[in-house]
Amino acid sequence: MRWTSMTLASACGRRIGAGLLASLILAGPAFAELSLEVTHLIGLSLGTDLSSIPKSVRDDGYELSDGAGVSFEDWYRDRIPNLQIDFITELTPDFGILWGIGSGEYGDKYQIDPSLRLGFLYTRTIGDNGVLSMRLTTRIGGRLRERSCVADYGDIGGVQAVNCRLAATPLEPSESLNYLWNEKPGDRLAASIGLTFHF
Amino acid sequence: MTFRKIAALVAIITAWAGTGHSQELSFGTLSTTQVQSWMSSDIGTAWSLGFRGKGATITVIDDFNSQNYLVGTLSGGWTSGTHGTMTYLQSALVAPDAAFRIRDFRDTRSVALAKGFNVINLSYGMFADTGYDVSNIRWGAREGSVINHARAGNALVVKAAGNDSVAVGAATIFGDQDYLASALIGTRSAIFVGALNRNGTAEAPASMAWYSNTAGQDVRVQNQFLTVGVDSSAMNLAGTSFAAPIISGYGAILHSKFRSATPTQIANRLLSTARTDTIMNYDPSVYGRGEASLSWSLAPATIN
Repeated sequence: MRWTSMTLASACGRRIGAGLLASLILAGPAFAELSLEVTHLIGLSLGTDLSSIPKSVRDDGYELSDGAGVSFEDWYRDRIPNLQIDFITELTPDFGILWGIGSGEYGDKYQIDPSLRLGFLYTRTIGDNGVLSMRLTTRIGGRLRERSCVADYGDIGGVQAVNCRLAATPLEPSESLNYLWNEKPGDRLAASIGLTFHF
Repeated sequence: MTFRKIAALVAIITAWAGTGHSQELSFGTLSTTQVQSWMSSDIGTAWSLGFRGKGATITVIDDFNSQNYLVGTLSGGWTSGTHGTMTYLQSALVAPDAAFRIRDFRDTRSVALAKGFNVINLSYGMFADTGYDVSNIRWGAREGSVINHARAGNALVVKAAGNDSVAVGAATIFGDQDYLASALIGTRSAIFVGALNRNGTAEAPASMAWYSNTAGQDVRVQNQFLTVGVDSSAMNLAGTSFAAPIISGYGAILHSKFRSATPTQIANRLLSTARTDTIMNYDPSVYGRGEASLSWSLAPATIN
């Protein structure tokens, strides 16, 4: 099996993809002669598509009521970055299962949950020089979650839970909690079709 | 002296006339939300998050009917209007989503408060020969009600400090005294506002405008005295009359965050978070608590 370059495209619903994935894996006769031969490492990377969100605020900050500076660097630095490892396991010369794990990313005020990536890759030869490839993956987990801070506003507001980033804005502290990050990964469902010709 | 400066000087003088006729109108909100050159950068930051004083009512007691017109550049282009028109416009530019009530000098009735949070802007004084005991003054309904609101903490009362280069409550060179200021000394929710020559920064501290009254030796006044920048070159207006509306707007914005806070708490917050590092040779007998900082007043004391 040749690993070809491909371009990710947007996919339809997560449930459709999961169902398709499940049906392919569980389909009987077509895979009666599976040969679980080799598992290859195909990807090793740090970070996720959601890592850019906490990274984007690290240079920000504000002053407290006495002028003391608060930097977001410590709160939103990735103390433990996400390690993504991806494999492909060949079932047939044309078909393989994609699978991978993300270890999760951890900062003082946020985390990106660990994740599991599952999918398949199917290739088919077109003529003498062409290869058609179809890839479908889904990611389970990997959500970005932000933790709140506890702020003391003194006599005027007391001690309250607040969105760390928005504590010094005119936003009411309780309302600022509605803006805590709670983001799903962008690649919950990813599908692509590629056509490669060699000449 | 240019025409504009003459007009500004007339404004300073007529601010203390205390004459006029009654008319009370209620205004809705002002839609303009453009940061003006005379404003502190803190204001734009507050606006960018959509907070412009909604939920507060600002009552502006001033001249809205005389033929004495001022000319200034509060909102980009030239604007002409009475003293009250300008102070109302200025506070509306700082807190565009606040509700406004204007009260002309002719209307001497008690100042009733709206439901919710109230700010009363006093860019004027009540002068008489010095030497009277302020506690023996029988106030008219309007000033009496305002003083009572400040004593009870029912409204944030923002008083222009005055333009006589004396301490608040002290006799002027003319031998008279602002007894309204004297009556507000030591009240729960009154703030005196002096004028800096511009908005100060830690890198470029500001100084007191030459005309502005100061806090003086009375510690009570020092504790309820703030300053803000009145950049005459930017707004073509001068006087502590144009310092008070800025604090009135700050009070409205601060209330939009701390909705359950009382006027006294709002006043204390503005006073306790004033900056001294943005003032040249800070002295509490001159600058009171310091330069008002909207950003510091909105921020927590600690966070973790």
